[in-house]
Amino acid sequence: MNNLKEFYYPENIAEAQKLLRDESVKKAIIAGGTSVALLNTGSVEGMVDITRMGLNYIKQDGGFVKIGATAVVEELARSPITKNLANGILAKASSEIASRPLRNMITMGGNIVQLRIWSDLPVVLLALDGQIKVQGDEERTIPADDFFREQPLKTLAHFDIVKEVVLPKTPETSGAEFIKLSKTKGDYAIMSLACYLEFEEKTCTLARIALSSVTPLPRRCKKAEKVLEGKQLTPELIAEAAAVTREKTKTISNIWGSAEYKSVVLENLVKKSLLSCADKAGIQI
Amino acid sequence: MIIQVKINGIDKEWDVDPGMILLDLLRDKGYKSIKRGCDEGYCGACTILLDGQAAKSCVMLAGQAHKRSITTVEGLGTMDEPHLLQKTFVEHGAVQCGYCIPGMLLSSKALLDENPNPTEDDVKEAIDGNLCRCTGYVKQIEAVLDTASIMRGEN
Ligand SMILES: Cc1cc2nc3c(=O)[nH]c(=O)nc-3n(C[C@H](O)[C@H](O)[C@H](O)COP(=O)(O)OP(=O)(O)OC[C@H]3O[C@@H](n4cnc5c(N)ncnc54)[C@H](O)[C@@H]3O)c2cc1C
Ligand code: FES
Ligand code: FES
Repeated sequence: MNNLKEFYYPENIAEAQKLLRDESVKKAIIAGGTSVALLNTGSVEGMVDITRMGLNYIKQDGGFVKIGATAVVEELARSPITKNLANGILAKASSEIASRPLRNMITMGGNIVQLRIWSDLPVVLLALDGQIKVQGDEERTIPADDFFREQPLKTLAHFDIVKEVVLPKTPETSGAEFIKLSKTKGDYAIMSLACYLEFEEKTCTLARIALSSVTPLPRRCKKAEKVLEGKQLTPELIAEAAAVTREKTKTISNIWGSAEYKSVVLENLVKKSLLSCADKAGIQI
Repeated sequence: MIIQVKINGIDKEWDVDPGMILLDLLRDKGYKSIKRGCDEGYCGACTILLDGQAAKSCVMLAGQAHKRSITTVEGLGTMDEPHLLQKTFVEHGAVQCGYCIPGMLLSSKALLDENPNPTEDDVKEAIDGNLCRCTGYVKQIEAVLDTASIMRGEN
């Protein structure tokens, strides 16, 4: 299903970009390959393998956790750094992707650049206010909110390389939760969601509710977040935020669930995960 | 293009179509222990070890294997001298038709290489990507745990 004639193994980003910009041979990026191998790559004749450029790190840098684009999700699931960040929701989401051999292959970059309805990591980036560093003509940093507004594969130029994902460390007075609903662990998500709450004293100062597999692209429900911000949370308020999420989310049907079913379950899961966030932040409701 | 791979400890240089699925390439080269099941990354029949880590060769392109090391069941043991995992699988009756077994063995080997003292849950997680349509997984899990304890010198 492809017309590939050549593979390239650049050792750094500059080299990779030089290859991608040289259009005498049409080239594309390959990372884990788990998507690329199954898709028709059309007239692409050369693959630029970006997994040998040292971008597989997971590190702490001041108040941030920095994840190289080719870090594989099995490492994200195991790393003490990701386990310690925001109640470990990135590690949890990563550990629930597919199966071990695939987790050894799937990369952070590949998972967020080519959005599939079942992609699990984008919601975590949305909930934790992730920033995506892209090397194009210049290096630019794109907030997750903007990055996922459209299919990144379409908005990125062919020579753009996602280099790194940056996640801010979260304060003590915060709680995060990721929930994936699927028939078995590792199966595609019927839906997945990630929530994050921050508190000052007992007041919720910041709320993020991010949803996946229920709409064509992963998205936050800001109307529901507004219900919580600036208030002391009560069971009624959390129920209201969940109801608003349901109301404002135009769910889509697919083989994993009908729109109607997803709507009902979504409301319940938002409630459950907000309660869990508050609990993890040490806030009694 | 030419790719260099170290397969079962032996260095090879192959002139390949780099866009070929790795599973197809390896079977063409005679490594028939690697099986084709679903061709989509689900079943695990095509599992290999890539630099010691389990990977599914049906969702990889040949070019990705350049300068990497691959282990298949051909490199695990022989009929006369089977790997301990193979021996234990047989003794536990963990094999019926056998189609899933090469992948199952390699996923288990990767586990034991990194964790000589696995729990039952560790084993389940390691072979989660290897579907078996014949057995109920129980005997395979027992076989892996038993192999681990023999390797630790416990029985
Ligand atoms: C059977 C199966 C089950 C799966 N289940 C799940 C699941 O439950 N949840 C989940 O989240 N995922 C799941 N996945 C993984 C998901 O579908 C994709 O295959 C995976 O995220 C792609 O990552 P990759 O590193 O293999 O990317 P590749 O296939 O190498 O690349 C994907 C695309 O992204 C581009 N790209 C990759 N990296 C970069 C970069 N750094 N900069 C710019 N462009 C880049 C490539 O050019 C390509 O277009 C599953 C995959 C399989 C095969
Ligand atoms: S043939 Fe590769 S996972 Fe099924
Ligand atoms: S023994 Fe037949 S598929 Fe596992």
